[in-house]
Amino acid sequence: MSKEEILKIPREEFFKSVKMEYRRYFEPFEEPESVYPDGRVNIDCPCLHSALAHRCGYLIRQALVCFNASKTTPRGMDCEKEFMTHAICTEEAKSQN
Amino acid sequence: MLLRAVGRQMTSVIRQQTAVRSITMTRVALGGGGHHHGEYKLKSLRVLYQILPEPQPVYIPKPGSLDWTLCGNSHAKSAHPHEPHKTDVGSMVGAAVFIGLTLAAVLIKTDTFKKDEGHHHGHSAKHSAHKEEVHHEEPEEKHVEPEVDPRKPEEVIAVREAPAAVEEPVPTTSKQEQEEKAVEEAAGTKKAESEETSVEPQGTTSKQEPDGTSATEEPVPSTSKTTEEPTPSESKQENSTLHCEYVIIGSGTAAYYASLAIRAKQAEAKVLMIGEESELPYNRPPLSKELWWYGDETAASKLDYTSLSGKKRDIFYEVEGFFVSPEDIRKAPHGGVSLIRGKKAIKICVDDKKVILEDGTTIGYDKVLIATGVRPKKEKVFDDASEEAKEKITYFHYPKDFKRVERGLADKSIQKLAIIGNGLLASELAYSIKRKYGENVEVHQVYEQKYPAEDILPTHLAQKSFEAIKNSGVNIRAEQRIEGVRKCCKNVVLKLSDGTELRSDMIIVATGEEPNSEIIEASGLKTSEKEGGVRADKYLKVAENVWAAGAIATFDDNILGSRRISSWENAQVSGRLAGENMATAGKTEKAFWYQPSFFTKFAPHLHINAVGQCDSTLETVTVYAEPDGENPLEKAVVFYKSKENGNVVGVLLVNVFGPSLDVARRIIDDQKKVEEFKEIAKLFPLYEPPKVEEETNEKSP
Repeated sequence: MSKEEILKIPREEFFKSVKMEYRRYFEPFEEPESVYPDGRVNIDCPCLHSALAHRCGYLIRQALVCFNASKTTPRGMDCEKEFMTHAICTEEAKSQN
Repeated sequence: MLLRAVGRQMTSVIRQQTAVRSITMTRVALGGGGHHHGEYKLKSLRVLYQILPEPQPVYIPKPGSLDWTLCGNSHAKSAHPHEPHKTDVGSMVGAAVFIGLTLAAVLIKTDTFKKDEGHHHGHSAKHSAHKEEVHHEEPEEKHVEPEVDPRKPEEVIAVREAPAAVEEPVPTTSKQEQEEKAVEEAAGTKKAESEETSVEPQGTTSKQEPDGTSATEEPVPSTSKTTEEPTPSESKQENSTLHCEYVIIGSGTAAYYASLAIRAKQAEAKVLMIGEESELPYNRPPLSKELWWYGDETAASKLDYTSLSGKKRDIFYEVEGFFVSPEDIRKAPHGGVSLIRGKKAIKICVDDKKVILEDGTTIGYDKVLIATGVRPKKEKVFDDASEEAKEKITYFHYPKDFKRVERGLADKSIQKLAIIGNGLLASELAYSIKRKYGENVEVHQVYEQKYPAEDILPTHLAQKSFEAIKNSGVNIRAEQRIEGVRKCCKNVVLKLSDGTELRSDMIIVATGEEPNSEIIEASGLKTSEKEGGVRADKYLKVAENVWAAGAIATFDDNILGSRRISSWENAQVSGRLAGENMATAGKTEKAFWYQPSFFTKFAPHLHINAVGQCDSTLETVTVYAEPDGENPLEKAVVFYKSKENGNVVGVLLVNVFGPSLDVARRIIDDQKKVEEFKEIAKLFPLYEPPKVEEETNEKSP
């Protein structure tokens, strides 16, 4: 059997500040954001992979590109057609099978 | 504000896609001819014997015993008086002219003879068979010739097709077939002859003939070879070839996420997944976790459960409507992911860039991913059991196994259950089943080792798990070997090594898993001796245009060395990485960097997350939080130290949540040699901070 060390850390000691050399492991983590601060959608977000890989994925890609390029306020008012085309495609796909 | 509307639209659309699915029948996508190698030789000879006028034993010259010339008689060294061979000068001359013209046409019109690399799939033995055949083909040539001559102009085009088309086609028209056959017979004859005269073409190109119409004509045996692939667009236009840009062997988690990554990087990519299982790609961990914990009476049929958020979820990643059908994928203008279910791929021809399925279908690819995964390890004592006993024994890996056990428990036909194994799957199953059915089932866990999960957990934790599982009502029979198993009345009886017998209604064997590596060996790719699976580099690349992902890949981890990891997160991460690298091959490739973790729970208050190399043969340091009144959960962090230099190579968390796994990943990536473990343990939420509420972030797969 290999060496097994057991340590116990009491509560008070735990809440004392961590030594400098270990602090960097605790830096905040960055996740890829799905929406940029200016309101555009991040098309590379992994959250969209499933929708884009779908057989109707090219339609949502077009819709999102239109959305990002849209200058209307609120953004995307002029992209309704693209989004509807995509929604219709996925409906058909679902009912086909 | 519209963002929300857009978001709503998007989520509603995405919600449609992930709504409750119906599991449809398996689609058999392809038929296909066969590659019958040796059979044809015998068949053709037998057919020939029936046609020949003389009933004497036919003279078959030994290979090399003839002096062949293009125009002249063959002088057999031991002449048989009633040789069927007729030296007909006229047909010889005609044949020579015909062959010369064909050769010229092939030389000019194709570049068959220009490539240096021939593809010799080890069928040189067939060449001698050709010599035998040719003799018998001579009398036939008279029939063949008049047929072939009028077709000569078409033949020039057909000849170009002959080296190009490789696999067994879905026959387009019978006329085309006959054309090709006639051409190939001649081509076969011509090539066999020309080899003797040392005009060396680059390997014989002769096609494999389907059985049906070739009864009267002599089929040309031996396999098909391409000397050189014409441009991919040409071969794609061939109706008889199945070809897809990206082919993925496997239809599990790694395969699914790879297909997503490919489509994300290359928007119009065409992906074809070939899966042995008949289900759509599904998530495996719930089969021993969530489906038991949160499933109800529909779980056995629909494989769904009510998630903690209240919504019904099933284990399938996508509905059927997500996929493009395999027939349509080639013409799909914007690509897609298609899926062939229920077919097993048995070989990859790396040089030819083809995948061969069990039924003989061949699929060409530009890039292929091996994601065949693992299967349960068979135990000899159960494989050798009687047929009656085997009816009550099951391994546990596939949805059908889950359905069988769940139905048996639900209709009370299983009241006593024996689970064999001490690993994570066996322990999870024991806990989950007992948790769901409580007093309605007697669960026994039988294994040869001392404690559950003792190859991962340090002894003191393994002991705690042992106690916890026992306390939840599971009867553990530790350190018992199975000596025998037999059927007795309605039960199946296990004979244990301490002499006792254990009766149960069903035995679940969960002792381990082994990689599905037959295709690796068959394709001549390198396997890893120590870990099993296929050898891949840090980019998950195996060979030219071949990648591997998931539990089958033994890849190079810069930090931890060469490993093969069989966990859900590894399947997802490596699947994504391999997919990305395939799509961006030659441009930017990412090396493996994200340490996968795993999660298990086999006792009520033992929620275990681990990342890195968690091997109990390594030296471990465990830091426990002291139990206090408010904290019913005992929390601990286990650090595993490497043998070479004491760096932290693995971290296992017991009832510790939050971003701890990512902190652990950073420590491992840093290859940190820790001196003060109590200090570093402060980075993990072992205690709740005072006055601030801690979020319990349940990391479930």
